[in-house]
Amino acid sequence: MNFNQVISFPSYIMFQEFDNESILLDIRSQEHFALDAIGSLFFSQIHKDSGTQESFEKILDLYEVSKEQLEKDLDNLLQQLLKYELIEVK
Amino acid sequence: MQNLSKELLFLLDYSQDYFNHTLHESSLDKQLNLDYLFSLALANGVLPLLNKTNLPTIFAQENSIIQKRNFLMSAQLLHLVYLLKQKDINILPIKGPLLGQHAYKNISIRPFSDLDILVQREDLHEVSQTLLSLGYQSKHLIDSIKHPYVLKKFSDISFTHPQTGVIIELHWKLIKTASAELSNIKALFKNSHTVFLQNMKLKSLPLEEEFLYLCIHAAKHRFERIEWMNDLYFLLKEHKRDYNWQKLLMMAKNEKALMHYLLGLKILESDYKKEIPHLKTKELLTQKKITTLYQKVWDLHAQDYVLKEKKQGIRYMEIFFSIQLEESYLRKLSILKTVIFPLYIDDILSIKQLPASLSFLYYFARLKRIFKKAIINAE
Repeated sequence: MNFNQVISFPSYIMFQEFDNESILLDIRSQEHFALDAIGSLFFSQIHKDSGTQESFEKILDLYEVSKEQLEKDLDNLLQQLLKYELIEVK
Repeated sequence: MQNLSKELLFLLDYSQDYFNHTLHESSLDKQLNLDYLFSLALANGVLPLLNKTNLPTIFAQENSIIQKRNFLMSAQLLHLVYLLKQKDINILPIKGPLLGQHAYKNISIRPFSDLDILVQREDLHEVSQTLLSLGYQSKHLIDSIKHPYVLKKFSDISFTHPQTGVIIELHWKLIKTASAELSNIKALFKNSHTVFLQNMKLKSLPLEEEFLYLCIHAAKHRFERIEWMNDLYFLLKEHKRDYNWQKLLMMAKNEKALMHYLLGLKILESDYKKEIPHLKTKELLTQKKITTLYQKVWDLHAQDYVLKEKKQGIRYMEIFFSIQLEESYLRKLSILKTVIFPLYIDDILSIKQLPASLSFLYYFARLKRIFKKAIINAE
C-alpha cells in the first residue's frame, strides 16, 4: 500500500479508545472490531494525521521497531480496515 | 452551603476545574474519605470527571464501565438514526450522548442510563416498529401510542433491549406540562441545530430550548445530582455567546417555568461563579422565593439526599418542593391531583376508549385495577 495516500473515515464509523484497546464500530451493521494496543496506536495516529506516511514516521520515532516490520504491520492493518470499509483511501 | 461535606465541595470544585489540569493534583491533598467520595461521585453522576486524578483503582474500573456503556449506547443511538434516515424520518435525541458531546465535547465524561429521543407524532408508529424490529421490547402495548388520551396525558413510552439492557425512551412531547414554545414539536425540529457525534450529523434541540428544558428537568428533580448543574455550566461555558437571554427569559415565563429556570441560574451564579450577562434576569435572581428554593437544594445535598432510599417521608418532601416551584395555583393543584389520583398508561388501556367528554372516567380504571388485585390476593 502506498503510504503517501490520504486516509479518511466514513461517517458511519465510530471509534473509541479504551484502556488497552480500541473499538471500531460500523453504525450501519453494528459490527464492531477490536484493536489491540498497537493497532489502537496505529489507528489513533492515522485518525489524527489523516495520512499514513506521517503516522508511520511518528510511530517509528516512538517505538523500537524496524522500519520493515512497521511497514508490514501497518500495511496489514490498513488492508484489513479497507476490506471492512472502515477507512477510505484517496 | 455551610454544612456540605468536604467530599461534595471537592466534587463541585473539581467539576468546575475539570479542564484546568494544574488544579487537580493539589486539590486531592485534602483528607477525603475515598469510599464516601466514590459513592457520592457515582450517585451525582460525576465520577468520569475524576478520571485525571490519582485515585484508587475502583474509580478507574467504574469509569471504564461507564465509558464502555456510553460508547455502546451512543452506537445504538447512531444505528437508530441511520436506520430511520433510510426511511426519511428525523429524530431529536435529548440529553444522553448528544449532551455529552454538546456540553463536554466528549461522550465519555457524562454518564447516562438511557437514551431519550423526541419524535414527531406522525413518526411515532414507524419509530416504534423500528425499535421492535431491532429487538427492543415495551411493557406497554404498542397500540398505546395510538390512544388519544395516552397521547394527551403522557409524554413518552419506554423500550428496553433484553440482551444489551439499553433503554430508549420515545417522547412525543418534550415535557408533559409544556404549553408554549416547548410544546411545539414541529418548531423544535425546524429550528434544531446540528451536533456531530463521532462523524455523524445529528439534530439537536435549539440552544435556548435545550437550556430551558434542562433547567426544568433538573429543578423538577431538585437539582439532586451535581451532573445536572454541570450540564448547565458546561453548556454556558461552551456556548455563552450564542444564547439569546431575552428569548430564554420570555420562554421560561411563557412555559410557566420561571422558577425552574431561575433556580438553575442562581446555582450557576452562586456556586459556579458564572456571570449572568442579562441584567433583567440577574435582578430576578434576588427574589426571596428563589433564595428559599436554592437553600432547599443545598440542604438536601447536605443531607446526602441523593444517596438515600426514597422513603415515604422523602416523597412528601419531593411533592412539597414541586409545589413550591410552581407559580400558578392551577399548576400546584394539578400536582396534588396527580399525587392523589395517579394515572397509568395500563389503566387507560384497561377500559374501552372513551369520548373526550368522559375521559375523567379513566381515573376510575385504577380503582377497578386495585379492586381486582385485592380480590385475586384474597382468593
